[in-house]
Amino acid sequence: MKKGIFFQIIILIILLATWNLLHIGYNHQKKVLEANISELPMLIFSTDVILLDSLAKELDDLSYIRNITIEADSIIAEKLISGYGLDNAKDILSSYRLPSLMNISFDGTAFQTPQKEELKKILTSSGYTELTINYDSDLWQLNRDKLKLLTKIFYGGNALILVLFLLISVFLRIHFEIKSNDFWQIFRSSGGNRKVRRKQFLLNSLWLCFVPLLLATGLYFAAMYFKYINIQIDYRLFGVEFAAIIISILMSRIFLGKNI
Amino acid sequence: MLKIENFTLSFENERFMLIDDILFTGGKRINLFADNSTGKTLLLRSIHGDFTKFEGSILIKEKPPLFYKKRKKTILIENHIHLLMNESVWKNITLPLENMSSRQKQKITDLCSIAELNEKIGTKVNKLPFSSQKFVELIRAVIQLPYLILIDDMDNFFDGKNLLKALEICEYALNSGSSLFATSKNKMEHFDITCRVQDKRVVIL
Repeated sequence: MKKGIFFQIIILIILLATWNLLHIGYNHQKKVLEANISELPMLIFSTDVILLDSLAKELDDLSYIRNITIEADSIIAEKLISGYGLDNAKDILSSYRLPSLMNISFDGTAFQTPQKEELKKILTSSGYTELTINYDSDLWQLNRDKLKLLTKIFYGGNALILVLFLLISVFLRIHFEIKSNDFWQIFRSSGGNRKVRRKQFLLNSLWLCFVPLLLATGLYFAAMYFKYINIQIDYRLFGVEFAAIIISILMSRIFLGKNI
Repeated sequence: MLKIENFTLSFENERFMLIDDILFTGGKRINLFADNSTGKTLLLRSIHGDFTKFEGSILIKEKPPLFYKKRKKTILIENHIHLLMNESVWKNITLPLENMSSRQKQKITDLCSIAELNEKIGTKVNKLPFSSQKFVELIRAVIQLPYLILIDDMDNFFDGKNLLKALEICEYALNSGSSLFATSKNKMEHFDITCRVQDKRVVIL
């Protein structure tokens, strides 16, 4: 294999690996932010445990709710006594009427603004006006804003890498083909068949099409297999990368025109 | 093999080379000699299919040169060198050969020994003298057995002993039906047909 093609393959592997890394980084960061949302519980207090039960039944079907637990007032009292060593105050606590507690944890991926609005609507509906709700909406909003910004950066990064990929790969291909013009001129004048250059261009295109993509993809799967990373990326990315390589080859062929 | 009819080369309405009707059969050595700027090179380039701004017709085996555009059946050896200077003699000779037979390999070795290149087969061509470099080009042309081997200003790089060696090398292609068409400033010996440009017209002597 000629040095030029080898060099192009190396550059394409670096570009494709960078592209894969962008997706890995995005998925990792997204996972962290969604985990932050999942770990943020909504606490609902009510003295009426039956009301909480009926609310739990209503919320149970919602896809963005991961888990609902209800703790009755007696259990809360027990927890307070054992947690804070209040054995002497047992009688005093039993004389108070403590509220029951509902703990809702969410699916960070699915719990977005429309879902939050839907939940708010349910909780403020006429049947549940007596509930006391404790939820850190500011922290939820902060995480959602970060997710939005991350998504914007991700799409911008993809577009940037795609443009850079096309520019670099097309430029390199044209550069090395023009650099070999002298060789082909001598080849032609020596009596060589004109088709040989076209055949060589096609062969080089096949090398550039499959080798960098297979190696960059193989690198990702090897890292997954040996557990260096544990982040699944969207496999459609490999299709997009393949399409980008094909486009770059076609663009190079068009720009080279009669040189080939 | 080569038929040229009513051929005229002109520049700014002035005609400077005329060929009325010439027919060369295969396996011949043809020498056209004339002074500089008489159109010898343009005639060769026209036969080769590189130059098309001429009047009249050129037919190689009854087909115009453009018919052979994709797969050339003529090889033109010009004044300047068309070699890969940093490659070996062998690499340069075998450059256009896609599938080489053992017979061809043996023939290349034989032809190289005629040109006294057999011990320099692995040497880079930039280390060779000019006439040896032209021998490399000639062997490369001969081994492909084209219809026509065209050599421009042959006496520039092959004279005396070297001319005899060059013709001996060409013999391999001539025996297979190829023709050699060489131009020169002076008349060269050992050619079957000699032509000259006389009053802008090509005449066979």
